[in-house]
Amino acid sequence: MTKKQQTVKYLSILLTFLTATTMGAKAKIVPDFFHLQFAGDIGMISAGAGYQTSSKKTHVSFLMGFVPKTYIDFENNLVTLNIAATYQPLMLYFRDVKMAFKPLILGSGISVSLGETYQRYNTPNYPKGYYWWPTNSRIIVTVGQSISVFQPSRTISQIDLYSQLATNDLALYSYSVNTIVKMRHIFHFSFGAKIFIDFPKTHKIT
Amino acid sequence: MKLKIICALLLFILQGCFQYSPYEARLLEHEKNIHQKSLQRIKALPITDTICFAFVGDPQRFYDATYSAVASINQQPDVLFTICAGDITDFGLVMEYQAMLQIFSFLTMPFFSVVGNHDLLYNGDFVYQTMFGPFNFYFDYSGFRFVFVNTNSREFNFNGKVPDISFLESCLSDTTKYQSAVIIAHVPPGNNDFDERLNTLYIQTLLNSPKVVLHLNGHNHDFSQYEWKNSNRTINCYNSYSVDKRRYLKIKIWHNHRNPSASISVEHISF
Repeated sequence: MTKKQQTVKYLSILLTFLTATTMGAKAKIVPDFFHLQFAGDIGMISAGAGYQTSSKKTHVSFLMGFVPKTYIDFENNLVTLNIAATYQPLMLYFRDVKMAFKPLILGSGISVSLGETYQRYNTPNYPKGYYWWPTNSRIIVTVGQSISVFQPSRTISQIDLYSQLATNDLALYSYSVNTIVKMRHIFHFSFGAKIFIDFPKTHKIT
Repeated sequence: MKLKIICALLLFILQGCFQYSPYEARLLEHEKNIHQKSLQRIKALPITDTICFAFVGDPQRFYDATYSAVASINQQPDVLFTICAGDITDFGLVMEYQAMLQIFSFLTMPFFSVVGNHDLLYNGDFVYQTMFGPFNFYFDYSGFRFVFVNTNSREFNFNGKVPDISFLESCLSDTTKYQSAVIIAHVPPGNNDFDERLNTLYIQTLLNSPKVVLHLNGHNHDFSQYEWKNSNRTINCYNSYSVDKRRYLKIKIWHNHRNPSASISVEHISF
């Protein structure tokens, strides 16, 4: 891909993302939190937004991830589109400080890597079922914990700082059919933050 | 300032613990240029009349079996090096390349692997070339020329350039420099994943090179033996076992000036 084509590609992805976010905001489907992550099989840096259920035990995030080409093949940067869901059954509140600890967060997600390198297996070149696993997307599995800080500032109602171990479906498969592949070989460290914004309510001018 | 240094150091150390993507390709120095390193070791070996090497195939996801195969090969007293028929990974992921390399590093001898179709998945072509070297290459040892050729035509959209017939012709043409040649490829001609427009040309090119005595391939996950013949000569062909069959081939080749096609012996070793 030429540099021009690449720039057009990235700008259109960014534009789509911004449009979707603005439309979401206008339609009052405002995300509950903004999400940033380092590593974790979905990108070197990933950013996005997410929603929280009323019980606060489930989060769903939509993220875009990025890995620079130095770490891929020196030709194309890697851009991923991801949906990540986490389930955190326990929240342990600290007594005096406005913080809480979530000891167990189970997560899973779907990660789609954009670009011909990763999406070419559905073309007529490959008969249906040629490669037996889902080639176009990866399932990410995570387990982690986080610390929540409440109301660190006026607009930020909560920040969740989390660390987790992440792996993917292909690694899990290799783990399942071999005895010498251990958990420590397939799980990798990652960390991130979820920033909950208290959007100011609109004021009627009277 | 001190905190910044500690954080930077920590992040640097922890780098290895992070994975940005299953498709990332961050290889360490000792995981690069494997074929070049193996070649240095081959050059240090004494010249011999008979070459004995182990031939394994399609390790893919069979880590346990590969580990046992390596232990068994190490116990063979006369094996000088090991050749893998390709597909050392299942999904072309760098994690798999690294894991397999670690297992094959337990071999007490040099190791070569031709590129397989699974190795070319996603950005696997880049990883293979960084870890091992060019797809098509050859080396000479004791008068034998070992030619490794990329025959994974489907992974290159059957573009007519895979296998590279001109590479084969050029490396087999200087017949003064070697006495016999062994060709190693992953996908054999006649297979659906081999460019059918190049089937005949590939076999003809090898039959027309009077010194090619042996053709080795993988991909089919089981042993088979066949021949390519024309009016004046024969090339013996062998398909490797895949490692999960718990067998590999121990191949001996020697110069036989009276009858070139008889100078091969193949032993099946179970482990």
